[in-house]
Amino acid sequence: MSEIRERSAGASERRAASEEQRRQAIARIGGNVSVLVVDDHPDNRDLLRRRLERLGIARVEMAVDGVEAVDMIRADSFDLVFLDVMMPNMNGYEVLERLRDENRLADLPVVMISALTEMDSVVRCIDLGAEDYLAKPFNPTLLRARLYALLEKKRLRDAVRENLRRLESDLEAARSSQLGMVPPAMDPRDGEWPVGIRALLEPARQVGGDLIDFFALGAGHCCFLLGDVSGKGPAAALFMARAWGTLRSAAPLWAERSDDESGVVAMMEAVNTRMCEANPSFEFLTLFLGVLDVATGRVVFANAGHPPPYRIRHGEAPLPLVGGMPVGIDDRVRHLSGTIDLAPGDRIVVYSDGVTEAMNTAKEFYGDDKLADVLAEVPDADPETLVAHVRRSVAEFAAGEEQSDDIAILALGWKVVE
Amino acid sequence: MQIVEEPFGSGIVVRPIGRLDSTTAPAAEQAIREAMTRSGHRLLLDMGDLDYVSSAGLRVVLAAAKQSNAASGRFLVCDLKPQVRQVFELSGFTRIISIVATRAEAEL
Repeated sequence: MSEIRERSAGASERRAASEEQRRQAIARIGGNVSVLVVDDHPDNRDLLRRRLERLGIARVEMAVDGVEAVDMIRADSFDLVFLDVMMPNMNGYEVLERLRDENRLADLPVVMISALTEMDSVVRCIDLGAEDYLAKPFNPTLLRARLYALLEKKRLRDAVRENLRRLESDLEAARSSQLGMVPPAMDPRDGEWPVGIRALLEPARQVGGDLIDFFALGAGHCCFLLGDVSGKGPAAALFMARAWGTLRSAAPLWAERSDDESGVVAMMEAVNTRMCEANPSFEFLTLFLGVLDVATGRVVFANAGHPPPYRIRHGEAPLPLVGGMPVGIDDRVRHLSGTIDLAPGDRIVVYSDGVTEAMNTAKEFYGDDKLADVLAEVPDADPETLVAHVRRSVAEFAAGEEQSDDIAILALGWKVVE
Repeated sequence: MQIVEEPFGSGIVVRPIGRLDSTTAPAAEQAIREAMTRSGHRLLLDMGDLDYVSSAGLRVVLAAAKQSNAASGRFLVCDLKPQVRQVFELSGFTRIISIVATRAEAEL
């Protein structure tokens, strides 16, 4: 008597424990789970449905053969499918093939229902993309374990996919906002504005740290700049956007200049001071900032640690324009200006190190020398052709090797005859 | 990236091997930051085995210099290969980072 009582007490404890497991599992999986049972045998279908309902599945749908199952899966969304192998009209293999061809198996786990003697067919189903199998007659413990494990796995996979999708769409929006900071092309307007500019910005990931801008300063000057933030990705993009805004808001300093040199230096130093503030991760920006007097062709520039741009003149080797320290490092640093006088037809090409440090499959750099050579190949090209020529040359050099750095190219032409 | 670390004078010398670029910079930055703290902010960065330093790598060097500076420590860089020295010169880093030619000339 006492033995029987003990045994039944053990059973009720086990029941309580499994009830607790069930509650926890349902909590992990979430409420609205729907499962499709596909079996041509009505007794099997009903038995499985009752068990699934007892295990807390909110919605159990049933299909009598493969044709109905495929129709239902196309029309509705399920979290899990129990699929019999041998059925009239369309059997389990054909269902799996159909789902695989429609790319549905990545989102939808399928558990084969099969007699233990049919191990070969189970293996074939797993090869076709089924997630697992359950032997007939059903063992309640195994059913529960597989059901909860697969549903939880699916829930996690769905969450990962959803997070990725959200991240992608956030970054896509950030990318278009970043690319929107690059002005459209500037074209020469007859005699009074003989300046043409073309630019290309290609972040290596969705967003990057390269910066391009150009705009008129008053009636007679044209500001053009190209920069490169030390890092990559969203952090660099934020720093780049700050620099862009700071540069635009420093532009009015130009109106207060005593001469062009001091105007360029004042803008550069204003940006440097701002970028040194609130910079806890020690980002910095290399920046070339040039101002062209559109009437005389004189360019006054400050180069804050940026790879030297080239002045391109017919019959001469590309001339590099060198300078000093990057922006955002030290707010006490004094920036110096340089001056170069353009002759009609001269062009200037500014680029980021994503060009010169592009890598080929042999892990060699594109390099400064190659860029100078490539620029010398097109001594009379207009800005548009120059940008395209450099970009194409880098692409050919890299030959499909994935590039890790942002690419930025700007070409300016003064009194270029079309 | 492999980073070799050993005691040096009153501090630590750290020698990264290979390329210091955007791929290797995060690991190098963390290793150098930890070594900096352990060494009482007295650190020599031996760049003799670095073939390439990108702007992301320069940022790591800058962060180390600022960390050491903030703690009134000492931070030196030695043994720059010609192509790395060129990157330092182009970016003006030769003016803000203390550089010595070889490890033998470094004092911590």
